[in-house]
Amino acid sequence: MTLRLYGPGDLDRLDPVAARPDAAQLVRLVSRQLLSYAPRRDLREWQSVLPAPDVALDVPSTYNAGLGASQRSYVVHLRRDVYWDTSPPRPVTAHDFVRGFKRLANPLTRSPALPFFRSTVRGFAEFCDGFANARPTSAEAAAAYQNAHEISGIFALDDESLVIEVVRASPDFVHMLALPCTSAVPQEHDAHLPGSPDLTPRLCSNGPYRVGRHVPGKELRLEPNPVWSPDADPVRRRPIDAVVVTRADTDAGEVAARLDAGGADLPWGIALSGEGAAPAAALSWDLDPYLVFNLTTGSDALRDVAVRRGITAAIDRDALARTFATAGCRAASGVVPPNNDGHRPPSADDRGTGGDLGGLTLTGVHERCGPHALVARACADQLARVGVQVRLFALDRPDLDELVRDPHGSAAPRWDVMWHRCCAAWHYRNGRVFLEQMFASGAPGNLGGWSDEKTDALVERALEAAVEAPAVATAAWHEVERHVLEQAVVVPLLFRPPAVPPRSSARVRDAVPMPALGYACDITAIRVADAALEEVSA
Amino acid sequence: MTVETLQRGASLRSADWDEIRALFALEPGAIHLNSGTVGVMPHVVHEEYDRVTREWAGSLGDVYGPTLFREHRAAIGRSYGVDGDEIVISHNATEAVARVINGLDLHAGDEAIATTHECYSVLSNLNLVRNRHGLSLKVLTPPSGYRVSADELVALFEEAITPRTKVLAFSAITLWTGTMMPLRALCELAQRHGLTTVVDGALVAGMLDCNLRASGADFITCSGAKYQCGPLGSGILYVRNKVFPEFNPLPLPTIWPLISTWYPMVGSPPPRSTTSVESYDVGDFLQSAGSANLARGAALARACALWDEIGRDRIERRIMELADHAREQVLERFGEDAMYSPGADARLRSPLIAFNPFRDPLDGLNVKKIAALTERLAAEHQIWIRWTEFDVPSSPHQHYAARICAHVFNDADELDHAVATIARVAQELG
Repeated sequence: MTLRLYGPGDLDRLDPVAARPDAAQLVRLVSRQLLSYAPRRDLREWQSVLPAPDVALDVPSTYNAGLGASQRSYVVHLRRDVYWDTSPPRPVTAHDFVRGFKRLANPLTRSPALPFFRSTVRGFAEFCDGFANARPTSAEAAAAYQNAHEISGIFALDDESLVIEVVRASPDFVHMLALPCTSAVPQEHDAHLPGSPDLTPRLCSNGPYRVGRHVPGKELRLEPNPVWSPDADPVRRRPIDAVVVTRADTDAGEVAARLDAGGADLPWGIALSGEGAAPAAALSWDLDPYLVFNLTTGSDALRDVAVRRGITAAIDRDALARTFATAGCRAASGVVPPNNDGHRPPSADDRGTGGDLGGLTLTGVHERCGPHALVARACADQLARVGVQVRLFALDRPDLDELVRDPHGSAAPRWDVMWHRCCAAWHYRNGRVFLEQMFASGAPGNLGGWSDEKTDALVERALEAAVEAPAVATAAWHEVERHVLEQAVVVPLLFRPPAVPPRSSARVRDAVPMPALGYACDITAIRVADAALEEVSA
Repeated sequence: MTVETLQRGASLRSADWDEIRALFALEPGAIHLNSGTVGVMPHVVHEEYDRVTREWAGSLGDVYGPTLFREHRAAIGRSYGVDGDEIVISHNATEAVARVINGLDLHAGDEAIATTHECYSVLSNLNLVRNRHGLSLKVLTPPSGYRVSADELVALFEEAITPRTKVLAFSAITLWTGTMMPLRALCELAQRHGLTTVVDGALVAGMLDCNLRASGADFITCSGAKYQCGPLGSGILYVRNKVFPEFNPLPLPTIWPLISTWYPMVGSPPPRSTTSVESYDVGDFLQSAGSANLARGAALARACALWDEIGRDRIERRIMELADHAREQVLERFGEDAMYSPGADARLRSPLIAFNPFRDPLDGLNVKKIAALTERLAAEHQIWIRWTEFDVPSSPHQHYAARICAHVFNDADELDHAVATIARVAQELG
């Protein structure tokens, strides 16, 4: 049985350290992490957001001697029965994870998860800075830097044991070890620049599937990895014979129609909910979209906080929410969406007050497919009423991804405002996932380039407070959020609930959404029914 | 010496150490150097446990009176220089420390000071109070090594005290590096600042000939199963219940007996005593918790009585002599730099000796090697030690050590053999 995915998502970058977050559904099929998540049918089950052993034999804790009393040294012991699909097959080792962390630190792909590791793992920031200063432009140069330098806080004791030292007690660190970008990386990948599309057809896999055929920008076929064993993988299964992903610049309506007609089984790169009551009330929501001000290479006017506040006040988020009410969206009352640590109830103080905006003309960019185009149009209309003209430019997903990767580089198109989304990278103890990612100075996810000592100090204090009582820890993140909203660094627009249950074709069974995959289905748990056989048995 | 000999009235006070060794249910051929984790029960303790269990099996008698263990508490109290109302027989040191930390009258903004070298049960319960009541927790990493001094340790705590500090929580002897903390000096420091002291004395009971009251501590939680060699699942909790100004002039701290049958069902207990006469038996409040394992209390009391018969002063001297011998052996074979346990300052020496057994100092950071060493010692040589893990100031790494513990049932030959074997196996491990 072949599972068919269809939509506008990226299928050219499966390099785990460089794949965009919405590619995690496929990355899970071809890579493995120290920790991961097991699919749970009932998302209310606590285990759906709790990291479980993947290549690690256990989740490191004080109770298995994997974590010391100061909570600063993790020891992870690895399974010995996980293999790369190399010729001959080779065991996955602790050194492969060290290589993965080093590759993650590369300055070319700018993973949005970098700030989490920079602020947590000992020596990670220094390694990143050194890597950036080396300015590698070739795979050889990148590999040379990696092989000549160490992350002081990450080292292999031997093939089966890894030590990771952190600079402060971080109760969320096990969630960071379950991020796809922390996957093991084999030495063969050193021959390719991180995120390079030419790696995709040559990707070494240790997951249940491997790349069979890759037509850049169009199609990807994943076939069973012969060296993967279900006995060696506690969180994945392989009931499907093959997975075929077809990419198209299309929209939600067309994808939904194709699924309903049986022309595809799952959406790719687009969130579509299926029929049935959604248990979304208790699940973590997304900030989707928010408006980013380009504070680095954008209009000089945007450096004036009064202008940013004026734009913030001029956008009627309630009206936007009414437009998208059918998707369950709410007006965003802050940066952190509901059911994430640090979410605050709506406060009138966060709405801001208007300033003089007359005569301002801005260039706005948004994704061509999906709801952002409609939101952008509505915002532009609202801003026009206060004298702000916004010229909108729609970008296809790959172009937008490239802009997001390097929003202020010489190759980036000029832009002043951008509509973008931010989703939780993990779902418990996740106070940092929105605020550190979006506002820490230099963070790749800080798209507007906001750089502010006070913000950084507040983030630092919140990270330190992670071990305090929950109310204290949460209050520290509230302080960060209040400050960035007061500075109108971004305009939160909508809070969007997860699209659950996910939409699929009629022949899909066991479509289990997984929070860590942005509530996309875990393909390793899916079955595809043979319609003809079902008809006969009925 | 056998139980029969004991029954004939032979004096243990004058028995030699070979005779005393025969009192213990030691595994033939094994060298037990892990009393810091669990001791070895004497045969009479076993027998007392069995006797009381049989006595109460199927009994129609009233179990609730005996569950207060008043007689046993009074006897154990005498062994430790205190009264029965100041003693509770607990399930273990962890249960005792949990009752104390959670029973203190702490509020949001109050601060407690502890160290990363505490037992996890101390740190986890302090964190519980932090989460529940908003306690602020300051966790220090004490220095380790042969040259550490008592003054350094006291200064470390003193510098950490702030106007918000309410509690000092520390081990009398740390289980990771075997540091005998300057108990009296730290309690005096706490008293000068009006602080409550919670002392993890898990290793003290059965090792030291001590007067718990004279330490000046408010609470000391002891294991009954480590150096005291009582049954597994037994502990001793000392609760200061009267004021002896020569030891601790501060008012008695408020303690809420969280698990209690005998705490008043209506109204409050009397005010806590301000004199050397208790106003009520706080031990009863803490001890009464429904039916209890009567055999456990009786067996623990029997172990304490046996220690008294041998002589607690003799036991302490013997243990420390063996430890000094072992320390010399370790120093000779591994060098001073390998030592995590103090030695130069005699006040900090304990019978727990922690050291890096490998030639390469970096191997002291390798949990796999230290785990392999202890496993091989047990499997191939029947030498039972344990490895410990702890933080070292200004080091970003977790450090690991081999830890040996001397007890009265050990002898110098055993220690020599064990240290030599550790050196040989460590060398084989590279």
